[in-house]
Amino acid sequence: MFRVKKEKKGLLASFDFEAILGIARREYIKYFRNKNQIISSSLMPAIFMIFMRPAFGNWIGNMGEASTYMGAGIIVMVVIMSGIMMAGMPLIFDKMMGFQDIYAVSPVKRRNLVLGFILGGAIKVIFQCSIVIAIGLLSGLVSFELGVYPYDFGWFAAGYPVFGVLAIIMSVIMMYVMIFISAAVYSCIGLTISAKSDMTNAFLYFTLINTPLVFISGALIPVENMYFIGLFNPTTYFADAIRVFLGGYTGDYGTGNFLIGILGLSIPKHSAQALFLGLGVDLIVIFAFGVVLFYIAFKVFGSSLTESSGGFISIFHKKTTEMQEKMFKKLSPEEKEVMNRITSKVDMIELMSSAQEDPSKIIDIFKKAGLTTDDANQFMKIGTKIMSEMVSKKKKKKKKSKNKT
Amino acid sequence: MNTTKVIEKMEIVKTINLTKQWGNIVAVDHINFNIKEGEIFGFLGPNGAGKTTTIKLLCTLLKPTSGTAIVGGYDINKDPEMVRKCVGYVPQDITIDGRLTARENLEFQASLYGIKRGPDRDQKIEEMLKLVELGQRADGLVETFSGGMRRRLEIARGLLVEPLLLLLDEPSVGLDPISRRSIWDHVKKLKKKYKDQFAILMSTHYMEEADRLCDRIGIIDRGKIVALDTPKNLKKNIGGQIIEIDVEKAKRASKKLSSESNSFILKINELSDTTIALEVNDGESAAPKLFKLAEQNNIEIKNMRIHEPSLEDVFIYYTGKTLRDADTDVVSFVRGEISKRLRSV
Repeated sequence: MFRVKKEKKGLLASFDFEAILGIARREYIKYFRNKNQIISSSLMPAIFMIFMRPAFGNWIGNMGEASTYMGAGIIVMVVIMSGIMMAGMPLIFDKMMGFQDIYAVSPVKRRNLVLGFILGGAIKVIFQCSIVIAIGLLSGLVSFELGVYPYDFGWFAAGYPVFGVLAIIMSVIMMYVMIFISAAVYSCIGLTISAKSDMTNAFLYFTLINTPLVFISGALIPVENMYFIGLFNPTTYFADAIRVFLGGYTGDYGTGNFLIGILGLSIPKHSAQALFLGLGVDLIVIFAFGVVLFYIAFKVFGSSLTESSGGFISIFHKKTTEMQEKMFKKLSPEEKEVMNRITSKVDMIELMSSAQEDPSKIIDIFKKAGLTTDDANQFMKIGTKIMSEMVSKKKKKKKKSKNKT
Repeated sequence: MNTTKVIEKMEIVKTINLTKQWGNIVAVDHINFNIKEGEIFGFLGPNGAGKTTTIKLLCTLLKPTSGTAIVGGYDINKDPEMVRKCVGYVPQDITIDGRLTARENLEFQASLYGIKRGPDRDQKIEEMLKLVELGQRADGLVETFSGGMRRRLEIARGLLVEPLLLLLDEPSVGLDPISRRSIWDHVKKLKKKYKDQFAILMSTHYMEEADRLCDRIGIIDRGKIVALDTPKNLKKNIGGQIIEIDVEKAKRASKKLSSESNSFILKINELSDTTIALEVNDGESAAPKLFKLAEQNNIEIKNMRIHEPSLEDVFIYYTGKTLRDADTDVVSFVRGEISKRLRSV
């Protein structure tokens, strides 16, 4: 037999880590190589943080609370925007370049491809996010306030600084895990969009989905201020979780705590317990969103790989058949039958092009295809009917435009 | 009893009525062919004949409308994932990632095909880069490469995964003669290296390429295989010799020559406005007859060449097109024009 053989099946074997890492690696290599992209995409949040800080403070009244609320919100915004764009854009470029065919013909399973792109997107987002967090720390909009929950759990006050430091490290790690999971969720959205659209449409869809994700959520406006529509948006939970870590104002109820309240559990206000209970709820909800969105991305991406890569040829064929259908619309069913019989045997476009050159060629083509001269006559009759209709339509249009002027 | 054992070579590719249709238009029309182990199979045909579509069907980029193909023992409809493992694909357009280095491009490909990271893989990549003479530029960004270098890198990428079937879609388009030749040499080397359990399917425009490399050639036109044989047999089939004459008006001349009942002219093809090709059994004895005939019909022969049939003649014989026609592709041009006009109606 041949040297390519089926491998044994298994849960772990169905995930090809080599491929996932390979795809992710390609993504982040290209990201780090493109310094301009890094700088320009850090600039917008930097401007937000540095120049709009006083504005945020005066707007809500309480300088401290408001600015930290906005600080965490801006970081969330960065994760969303770069998550969607950085996972989605490379795919669109791959499509344009034809690079998509390369991984479409490779034996990598579709889920591994999607996972690779998501991982690549998430890694990029984490780096981008770290830059923004650093800017936030410098501008004072973001702060890891020591002595405040949940950073040291009061270990410093209790006289155990070692545990305090460990707790802080754990918190930062937790925060990054949270960002990573959320980035993956938004990458799924970006992948789904770009798998279904081309260059021009993609930008439109990106902004179309970005705006509600950012603004109809608890990212920049507290959820309780907008009738809780934001509860159906993953961003709300993500923002809530980030606020726990970045010293932002979580309000009397952060989102998680609010849900716990609905369940009828009493929550101790502003204690580590409450914060972490809320965090758990946030995690579960985002994870649920992630599973659903991953499934959608997997389906859409997978189906776009096999058939859509017909490229120009398939588009051309589709257009011509559409045109034919339009032209046949006004024919009687008998005439349609005749035309269908003929078009199944003869290439219409070839027929028409040779008819333009020399009408007598039509009969030759018909004979070659095994059709009779009767058919040719019928075809000519119907053809002239269609053509005259088209011409009369054109005249009508011209008349209309003349009337207008 | 026959003592010599007949070793039947395995068929790496076997298509069964493979068809791809878009609406009423049939791009690939019930194609049947097979590729045996250790064979280089060439697709020859004008643009839009269905070469690329067939290749895309075989590497599962497209799904067939009807019919199927078996690649490496796996059905492209039922087992596309296994088929992908058997196939290395070099697409027609250059699709190398410009923002990666040559080495990174190959590493990416290796990771897609499950080649584990390590010294073995590094060595293999190094080997491949040397083979296509890119060893010194291995860590240069592909953006800075010339077209020929990119093409070579692409072929290296297709070969890196040691496929059972290598699909080369017009591999030498846009290459200078030197790099084209080095790629040919390389393809031959590959054939020697893997011997069995390896086959190449290539589509091409270059007659010389098909003639030199391919063990068998399928001439494909309008989605159908019109001829399939070794280059030698194909040439033998059309038989005789070819006389090419330069005249003032080819159309008029060919009409007049064909209207005469001549036993010695087998077939007449117009090559251009001023050139016609005549197929004859014996060129040397036909030449004087031809002169006489031309004189009778008031045709001035300006120039004349007699040669053995080349693959190009075979191509013209079966498709009725010259290569120049095929390159500029009149049909697709007319199609575009007509669809434009219809849209404006």
